[in-house]
Amino acid sequence: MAIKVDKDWRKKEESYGEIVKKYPTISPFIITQIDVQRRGVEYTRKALDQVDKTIHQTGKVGEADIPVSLLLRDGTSICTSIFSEAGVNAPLNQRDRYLVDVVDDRIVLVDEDQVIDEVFYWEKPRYFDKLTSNGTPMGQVVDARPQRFHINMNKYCHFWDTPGHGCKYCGIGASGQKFRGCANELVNFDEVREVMQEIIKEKGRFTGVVLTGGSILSGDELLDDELEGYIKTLQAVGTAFSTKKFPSQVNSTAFNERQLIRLYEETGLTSYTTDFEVFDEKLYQWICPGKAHYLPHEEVKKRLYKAVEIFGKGQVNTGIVSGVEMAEPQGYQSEQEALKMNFEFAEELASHGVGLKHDVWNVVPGSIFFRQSTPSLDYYVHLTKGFYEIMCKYGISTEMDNYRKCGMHASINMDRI
Amino acid sequence: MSEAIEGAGMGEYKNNVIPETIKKQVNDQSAVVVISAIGKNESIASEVAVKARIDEKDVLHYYELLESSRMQKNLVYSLWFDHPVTILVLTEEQQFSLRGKIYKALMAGYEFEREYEDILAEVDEDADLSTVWEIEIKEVEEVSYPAGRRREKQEHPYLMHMDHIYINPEQ
Repeated sequence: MAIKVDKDWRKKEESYGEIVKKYPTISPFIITQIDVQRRGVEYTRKALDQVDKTIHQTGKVGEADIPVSLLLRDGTSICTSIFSEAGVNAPLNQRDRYLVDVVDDRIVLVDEDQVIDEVFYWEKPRYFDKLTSNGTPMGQVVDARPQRFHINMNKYCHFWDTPGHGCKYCGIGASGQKFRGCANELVNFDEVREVMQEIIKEKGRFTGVVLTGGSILSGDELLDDELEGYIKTLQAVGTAFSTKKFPSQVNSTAFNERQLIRLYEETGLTSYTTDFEVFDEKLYQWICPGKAHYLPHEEVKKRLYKAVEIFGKGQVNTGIVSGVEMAEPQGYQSEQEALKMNFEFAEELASHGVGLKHDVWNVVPGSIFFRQSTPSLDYYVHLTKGFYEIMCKYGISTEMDNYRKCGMHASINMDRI
Repeated sequence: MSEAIEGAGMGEYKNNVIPETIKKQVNDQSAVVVISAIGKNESIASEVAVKARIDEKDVLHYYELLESSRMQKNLVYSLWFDHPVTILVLTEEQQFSLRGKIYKALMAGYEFEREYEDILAEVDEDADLSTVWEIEIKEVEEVSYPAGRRREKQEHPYLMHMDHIYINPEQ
């Protein structure tokens, strides 16, 4: 897979081992999770020989069946990307990936010939390869991680309809284009109902469901069609439960108060997320121009605060694609300044009961930012620690988005102890 | 001292091998298993296991049913920061202390789902299963009072109140 590595990158930042020593109160497992998400992985032939397609959750890269991701010994999921990076939009200026290899009959993460730790491949749900009555593999209707299932309600994001409006870190404009306006752009609600009848046979598998998808701007009022999509999907999911409410999260474009009330009252939804993506207002306008056009920074904030009133403290959070605030040329040039900005805004949100989470920015092929590079591991660990401390300071529960229900948010994983 | 415990001499047992009788009593659940682990801010938690078993490789599987329990958090902490855990095995006749190192938190996948269904069948349908903690046993010591007393007399002959060795004035 094509990737251009800056051969001097290790000289420019502290190593994994140095960071583990620098942060003795941060779990080495969390630091591993962050760094693997930041740098990605490659698999040796021996590691791929351990893949059993009948057991493991895999994706195709070329001819190879690659594990979609990894589990650490503590149960933490590492969500790595497996997209093919061949082609002109392959990320540049990146770092070496971690190697997944087999040592002493165990699958391990390796960096510079040092074994970091043992890892495990995700095992797929039993429903995954079954077919709906339309003949669709159920795993294409309802996707899964080790302990949660999730539904991509809409496979295309309509911010990309207007040239220059797509979020600059996102590859959905390229990868989702094929679904635009197609019959399968939206999830099929009948198929969701069918899959749910299979999911309920898998006891002990799932602890929550997450719904997300591309933005739909249309409707009587902005986002009304997106709202309808989530309501219908949640109602289809809800056919499998004996209680009105079930552990669930919608991560949508920022709905207004009327829409949030409908979402809460007409479905079994328990928690709500709308992602800021980037906390700095000017960078939000530059990096997420479509969002900023329809939903100015201040408006997103107001809608989040309203969501806390409706769903309750601890049931609403917001995320950022951490690291994009340092994208060139308009981003912060100093990691310290970027962290300061993030913590100040995070504190403002948390003081109003909004929880915090951050994804580690993985430079996506096909995105406008495909030539950018991500910040240092030190930056991400510092951010993880800071977000967690702010959540603690304001007494915001992490349960709605914990390591079982998502797994990508290192700051939330710190709450395990 | 049970005669069934091979390798144990002078009423004591200290080794890294778990005696077969102890394994059997843990696995048939006739023994009481108490686990202790250190957590954040040096908090120590102890808990009687609802279920534990020891496999053929001498790995102890501790079943934590409550995701939000202090024990669950302490076991995560012990794994993250490489602290040992202690397991006390109490039978009618003996008490053993096992010192272990956590290898893995099993909480997803087909093996976990089998364990989960077993717990629901064995405990009740309302039970949940957070994690099966896989703990490698590094040290086993008999800590029953008679064994300990014998060991103390042998290894520390001058740690005692002296009335034990006074002459008997009535003789």
